[in-house]
Amino acid sequence: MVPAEVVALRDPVLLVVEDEVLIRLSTSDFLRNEGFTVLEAGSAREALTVLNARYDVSVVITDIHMSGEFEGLELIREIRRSFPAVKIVTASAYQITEPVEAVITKPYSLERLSSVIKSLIGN
Amino acid sequence: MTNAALRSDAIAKAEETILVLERDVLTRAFLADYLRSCGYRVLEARSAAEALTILQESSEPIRVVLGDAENGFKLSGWVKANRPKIKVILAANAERASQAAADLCEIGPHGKRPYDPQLLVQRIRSHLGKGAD
Repeated sequence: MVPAEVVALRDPVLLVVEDEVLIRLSTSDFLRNEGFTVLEAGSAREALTVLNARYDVSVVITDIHMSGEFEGLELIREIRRSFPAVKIVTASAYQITEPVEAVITKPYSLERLSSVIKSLIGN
Repeated sequence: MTNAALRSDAIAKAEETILVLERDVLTRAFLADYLRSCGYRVLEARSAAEALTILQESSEPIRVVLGDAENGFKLSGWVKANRPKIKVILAANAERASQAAADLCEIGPHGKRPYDPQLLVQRIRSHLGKGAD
């Protein structure tokens, strides 16, 4: 587990978790152009691999409904359990009860997503 | 070359796009980061199917596909038949992929490697926790 103070001292690194490749690509690309360092994961399992290997992820942006045996809600629970310093932004068309920092309602604009992230990291 | 021509050339090179096709998420992230740091625009795919979706549906002017051997081999026939101008580089392991990325950096937008490719291999291996071969 990564201590909160270690994460707080680093530049913000985002992890975009999305199984639809073109959405992942356009979201990541937009956020890079906004000045963030962006890592990409195509599944919840890949996201956990990244989080377990890298200490520098500040915010995870994840879809809720993804293909695979392990999806968004389980990823959120696992992040809360193992990486409590990492902030979570999720996009959903429905109300969710999981404890995340921000839920943006679908459909949303990338500008809105960027604005939410910036407010979370105090930028 | 005139200043205007140099600027034009720099802009053209900055727009060069590489598609990194690599099934391992950490190796993919390190390769993509390395290539971005030397000025390329980099798209990431984790499977041949994802790479094919990008090639077919994205308007990106992709010049090179750098792929792991297994996924890249599946894709290379399609690229040869449908996008013959795209160069496909297949790498059997992390070391070869890192060397290929370093070679691309030497001919690419900034014309220099961001750091030694052996360091890239070491980073990949240390994050994988074992040999990346």
